[in-house]
Amino acid sequence: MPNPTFDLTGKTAFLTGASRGLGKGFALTLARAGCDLAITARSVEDLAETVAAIEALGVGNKVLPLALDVRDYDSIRTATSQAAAHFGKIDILVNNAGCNRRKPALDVTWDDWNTVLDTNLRGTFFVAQAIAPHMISAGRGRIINIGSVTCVAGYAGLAPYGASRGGVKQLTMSLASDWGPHGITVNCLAPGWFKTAQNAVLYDNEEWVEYLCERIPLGRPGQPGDLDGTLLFLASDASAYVTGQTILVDGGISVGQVTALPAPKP
Amino acid sequence: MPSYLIHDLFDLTGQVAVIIGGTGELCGAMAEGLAGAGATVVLAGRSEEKAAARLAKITAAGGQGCFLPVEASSRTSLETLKQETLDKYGRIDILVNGAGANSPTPFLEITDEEFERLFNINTTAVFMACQIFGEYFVKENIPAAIINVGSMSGLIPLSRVFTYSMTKAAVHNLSRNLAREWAPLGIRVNTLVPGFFPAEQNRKVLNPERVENILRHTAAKRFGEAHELIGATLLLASRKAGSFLNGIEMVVDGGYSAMTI
Repeated sequence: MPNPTFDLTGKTAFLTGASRGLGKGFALTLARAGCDLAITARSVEDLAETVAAIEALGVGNKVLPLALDVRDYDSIRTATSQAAAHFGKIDILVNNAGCNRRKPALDVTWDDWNTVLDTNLRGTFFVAQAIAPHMISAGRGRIINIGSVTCVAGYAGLAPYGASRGGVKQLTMSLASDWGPHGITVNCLAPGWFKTAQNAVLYDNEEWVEYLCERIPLGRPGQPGDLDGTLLFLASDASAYVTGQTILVDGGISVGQVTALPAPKP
Repeated sequence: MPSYLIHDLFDLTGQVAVIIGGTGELCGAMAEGLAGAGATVVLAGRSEEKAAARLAKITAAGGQGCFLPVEASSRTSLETLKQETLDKYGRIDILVNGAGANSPTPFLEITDEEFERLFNINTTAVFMACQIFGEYFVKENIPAAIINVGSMSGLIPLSRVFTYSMTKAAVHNLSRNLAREWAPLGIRVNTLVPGFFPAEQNRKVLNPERVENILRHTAAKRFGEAHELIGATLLLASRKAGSFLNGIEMVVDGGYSAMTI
């Protein structure tokens, strides 16, 4: 019985929100594991850096940058069709595109709510719906929805975002149930606190970072490499019997909001 | 050909893993996976015969390890296991707690003796092993990975396995508490939760009606196979791949819990 492989050589992945932040990191990790990639952002120009970074790896992966606005149904249908036609198959979907409107619940506007929910929840569903037929015809597939600790915890100032991520956790279970018989697994990778373009402003505040670190049992915010193992696990044969799960990669924040003692320095 | 990235993330060369219950079917497969990733494995349990069969496969694949006897519910025996492992290999990096027993006795007929026996094997043994090996990890400043094997019945009530469910729920809870307690020291504690993997502990409770009932709400429409626990085991065990995974319940159940209230 050889060990399962985390290798993705010969696989094709479709990744949304790949221009920056965690999404750009996911693109590079998938590429380093051997994957060909269709990567998307609202504007193709915004993908130039990610494409260059993948090409600089020298792994020889094929990369197809595509314009995709996950809030636009026609845009979803067009981009997913282009990717499927180009590569002839899609083995892995990483639903990463997301946005946030951070403000007190009383200040959330109708537009804030729609923008966040349409991007994070409706977009996630309709991209999956567009990709799944290609996986069903192949009899296998991996769908990874990117969530957050707000899948399972409430945070002040994040009402629409938290509701969208809670929805993604639920959607993950529903789609796992729908498509499990076709050999497709659907899981949610839920990062804890990672510094990204969206929340960088918080990390400029040293006092806040200290407050945060006291509440993360492992004593630090996440670094981009912290997600690589779980991403490759969920994208590969190694997770064949894992589906419908939300996997928190959070340094233990979900088991320890308050640490009794200051964390000793490692 | 696996890329450097994958080797870098999941390789366990130079590490020593103690798998309590490694003589069984599921933990034996987990041990084989750890050995395949380069770890030296100690299969700890009661049956040297079962361990020998597993070790033959491990060594044939180029891995290394040994059998050490343990009575998992005995503190003295666990202390001896720790010491013998250190004498033989000099270090311990990974602890898997997976010894277990189950019983389908109807609730009103469960005797105090049976209740106590299952708690001793499934819960007390994990508690003591976490103390004994945990003390070593803390004192020696080892960024260890502890993987406690939980159960679907520790998450969702299943019929006919009352005591077993209680014992496993306690293991889930202990794991989360220890994850919080030891995280500042870099020790990660997670629970691996298998769904339905027919093995010696549950074969006696799987009749045709129960099988149909389970598969009706299992998204994958099949039972798991022991080797399908290896990927999750390596992810949780690896310092790099699992660097930020702590206090989680890694459920490997083909989607059973996603479809079950």
